[in-house]
Formats: sequence, C-alpha cells, structure tokens
Amino acid sequence: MINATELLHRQQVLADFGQFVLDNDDLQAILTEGCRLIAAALNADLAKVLEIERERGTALVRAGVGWNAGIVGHARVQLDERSSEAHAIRTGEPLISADIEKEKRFTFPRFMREHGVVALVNVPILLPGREPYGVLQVDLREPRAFGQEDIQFLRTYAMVLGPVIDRMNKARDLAHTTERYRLIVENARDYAIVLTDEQDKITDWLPGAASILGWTAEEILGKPAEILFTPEDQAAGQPEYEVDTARREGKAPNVRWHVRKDGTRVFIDGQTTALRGPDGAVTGFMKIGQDVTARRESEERQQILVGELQHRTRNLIAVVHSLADKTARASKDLPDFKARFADRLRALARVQSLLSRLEDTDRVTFDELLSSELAAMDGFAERVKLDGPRGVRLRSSTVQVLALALHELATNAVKYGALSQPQASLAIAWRFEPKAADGIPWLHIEWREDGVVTSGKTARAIPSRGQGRDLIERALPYQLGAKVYFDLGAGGLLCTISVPVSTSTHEENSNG
Amino acid sequence: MAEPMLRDRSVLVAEDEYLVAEELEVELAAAGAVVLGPVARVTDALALLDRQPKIDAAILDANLQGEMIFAIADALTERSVPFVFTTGYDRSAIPKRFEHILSYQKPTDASALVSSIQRLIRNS
Repeated sequence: MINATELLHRQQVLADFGQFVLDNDDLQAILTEGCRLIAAALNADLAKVLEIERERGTALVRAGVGWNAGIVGHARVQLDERSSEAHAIRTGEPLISADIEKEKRFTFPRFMREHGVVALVNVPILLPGREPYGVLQVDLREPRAFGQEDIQFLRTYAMVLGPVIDRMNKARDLAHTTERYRLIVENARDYAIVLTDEQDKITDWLPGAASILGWTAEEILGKPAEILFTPEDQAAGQPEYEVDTARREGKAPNVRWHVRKDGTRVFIDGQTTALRGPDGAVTGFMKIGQDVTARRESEERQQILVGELQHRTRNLIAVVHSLADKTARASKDLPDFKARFADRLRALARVQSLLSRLEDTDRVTFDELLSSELAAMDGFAERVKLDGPRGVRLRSSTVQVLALALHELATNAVKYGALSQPQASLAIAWRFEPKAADGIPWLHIEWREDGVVTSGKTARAIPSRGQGRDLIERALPYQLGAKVYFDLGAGGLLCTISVPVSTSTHEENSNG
Repeated sequence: MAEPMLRDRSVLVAEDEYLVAEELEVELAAAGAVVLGPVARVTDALALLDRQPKIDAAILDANLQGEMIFAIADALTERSVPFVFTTGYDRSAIPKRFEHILSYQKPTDASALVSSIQRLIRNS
C-alpha cells in the first residue's frame, strides 16, 4: 500500500509528462522522457518502450532509460509464445513477472539478464481503436511484488502514451506527405498544373505552369483560365466547352495549342478535371498538362515529309511510265527498247540517290549532278574537259529533268558524237549569273563537241537523236523555263542551256 | 474508225512534269481534242484562261511547281467548265469545296483520264 505523499507524487509525474508532451513534437524525446519519469516514479533503474514490428514478428527497443549503449534503437525481442511482451499485447492487460528466475511461462532475452533484470512489468500501449503499438516495460534489479496501485498507475500512463504516439505518427506522415507533394509539384516543371474556381478563375498556379506558360503566380492568380487559350479557340468557345464537358463528365481532354505570356504558342497535352466538394457540387477545376510542343512539331514535320515522299514517289512513277511510253514509240524492237529504257532508268536512279541523300535545306549542286552522270559513262569521263564553278545549287524540282537532259546529251555523244571518235573532243563549261536582267540567278551551261567527222552512217543516225533532242529542246523550257540552243554543226554539237536557279532555301521541293 | 470521242473539244491541261504532260497531250489529240497548253505554271494557266473564251474541260495537276492550282479551279467553276484533278498527294490535300470533283492519284492512266473528260463533257 502506498502512502498519500507517494500518490501525490505519481499524479505529479503524470502532470509533468503531460506538460512535456505539450512542449515537444519529437516522439523519441517524448518516449525517452516517459521512460525516465516512470522509472523514477517506481524507483526502478530501467524502463523501456518496445514497438511492435509486425513484418518481422519482433518488437524493437524504441526508447528507454538505464540501458547500456547499443540497446535502445537496436535490441529486439521475439514476439512468440514464450514472450512476456507478446502475452501482454495479446491480452491487452498488464503482465507482471515478479522474479524471472522463478518464471516458468516465459523466457527472457539475454540483454535483460546482462543488465541484471530480475523483475518486470509489461503494460500494453494501445493506439486509438485499440490497435496495439507495443509495450511499456519497467525492469527491476531485485524481485518486487507490484501492487494494484502500481498497475493502475502504469495503465494510466500507457493510456496517455497511446494517443500521443498516434498523434505524432500522424503528424509525421502528414509532414512526409506534404513534403512529397511539395517536391512533386515543384519539380514537375514539364507539367503545367493549374487550379481554378467554380467560375474557372485561376486560384493556384504551380511552378510547372509558370515555367511552361511564362506568367508568375502573382501575375495570373484571379484571371480567367481562358486567357491561356489561343484567340481562335477563345472565339470558338473552346474554354467554356471544355469546362462544361468536365462539369458534365468529370473530365475533359485539353490537347491543343496554348498561349504563353510572351504571345508564343505551346502545345499542351492535358486534361481538365472537375473538383467536387463533399456535397458533390463542382467547386473548381484542375488542369494538368504536359508541354509536348517539340513532339508535336516533329510529328507535323514527319507528316509533311511522308506526304512529300509519297508525292515524289508517285511523280517518279508517272515519269517512268511516260518515259517507257515515249521510249517504246521510238524503239525499233524489243531489245532496242530494253537497252534504251534500262539506260534511262539508271539515269533516273542516279538522280534519286542524289536527292535522297539531301537534308532538308540542302540542294544538289550542278557539278555534283554532272559528275554523277559522267561517272556513269565508264571510260569516257576522262576525255571530257570541264570548266565551271562548284556549288551552284539547283532547285530540287529541276534536278530530275536536268539530269535526264544531260544524260541524253552524254548518250548521244558516246553513240554518235565527240566520244564516238578518238580525234573529237567534248568540253562542258558553265557559269553562274547571280543576278540576270530579270533579277533572278541563272545557270548557263555550254556543251561543245569539236572535231566530229560526219560520215554517211552518222548522218543517217541523226534522226534517231530526235527523242533525246525533244527532251532537251522541249522539256527544259517547258518544265524549267530554260532557254535552249541546239545546233548540230559540221564539227559536232553545240548546245547551250540556261536555267533559272533559286537561291532561297525555303522554296518548295515539290511540283505536280 | 469510230468518231473521235472529243472531236473539236478544247481541253486545258495543267501539268508541270513534261513527260506526263506530253503523254496526256498525245492521248487527248488521238481522241480528237484540241489541247490548250499544256501549261506548267499557275500564272501560265491564268493567262490561258483569260485568252481562251472556249474551254470545254480541264485536267489540273493540283500542285504546279509548288503552287496550288485552286485559283484556276475556282475560275473554271465560275465558268461552269468541268474539270478533274490529278495529284501526287492524298485526297486530303484538296480543299473541301472541291470534294465533288474527281481526283486522280498519280501515276494516272492517260486513257482513263480522257474517258473521264469525255463523260464530264457529255454530262455538263
């Protein structure tokens, strides 16, 4: 039986502990102080709080007083059927072991014996909802018969501890959640996150929105969200439509161009979600979107390129078709057709490979085109005298027909002209006129064959040159606006071709 | 030999690829038509429209050297001249106001184009 002074003292201990809890928000400090006060009140050297570790089936010495280093925060007890702590937790009632030497029900961890513990009392700590948190344990170095007053005091103490621990854990979780939330929204710079009120006026402007759309929070809070839409979308009523859809269906896609503070546009792939209060009424909207401008632009570019490729292919097939038709009309027989047609197809293929190597703003140059054609005339190229500047850029739409024309000239030179006779010569000269009388740049090409002896045989062959000549004399002026002079003189062919060339890089690649 | 289907009919041809234009020209001439053009540029096509009071039909390449042909198409519509498009692009490259106009994907079959023109003239 304890006396009145002692009872008063115990009440004082509870009050002190309550005071300490009010002034502290560190769970570790509170549990340690709790152990210190309870040990002092019960004249014990040792006290500790054990926290259940469910996944391990153990309890950790979470806090304590009187223990050697390496126990608090480290030592564990097994919560099995031989554990006094487990028993107390299971029953929800205090459990006294007055002398562990005589205790038959339980075994005790070694560190307890090493600290000279001979008696102990376990009091379960319950969280609100009676969920066990662990035990408060007071350990003594001499046998002691705990009285009913001791037990009641310990029970009261443990009942205070439970809600305190619970509040601390919730505050910790909340702080953790808040911190995580802060980290997420502040680091998600690629996502614009905007909250609006029921009238769709902006109430929250997170850092991602500021970095994507340019306005600071101060500048935009309170403004209607529709100012983020393009004038076209505003005129079309898109902002209202989106909010109405979200109000009706919970959410609405928001995948469109938006306007930045500086007037530039950004393509946002996002969604507007209606926010509802506890009564189900819409209280505002959350808009989350990602800046996908780069992806969008590359998709658009891709689409244009695919379109151009398709167009170029179809055009090429059309040209091949017409070429076959034209070659067939001029051919004597099938082997003749085959030879001529295959030859022209190869010329077309060479142009395609030149064109397909180009980057966007690149152009095929005249010297490249000429060397590709001459390189195909194996054995003859070294007999050709070349004179002209490198790097005259050709519009892509002109390259194909110009290549076919050069090919006709070269083929005829090999078959009937300068390259068919050892004494004859071929000189190709060209010059670039940056600004002709009409104000646009021109390329002037001169194809001069000399020393060709015209025999009866070649004279008879000349009519068959009609087909290639037609390509030069008619196709070039028609398709390129070229000026062509074609003269089969006594010593051989003199052909001049003047082609307007564009210097701009943005001109269309396309025709047809 | 049967009566040429397009005898004395004036058909405008706008096509910037010489070889293709020439093939059309040959095919139309064989059907008895008078070929207007062919032209390879939009400006040439416009000039031809101004000069020619009588045009019975037209074959329009949708894109002439990077320029769309739709100004010509509008002018022809105004004059109630039937026409068809030829194009290396998808149908989607043609504006909605021309959705009732036949559009032939390149490579086109010249003789099919000629029969199409003949039907258009007969029905107009």
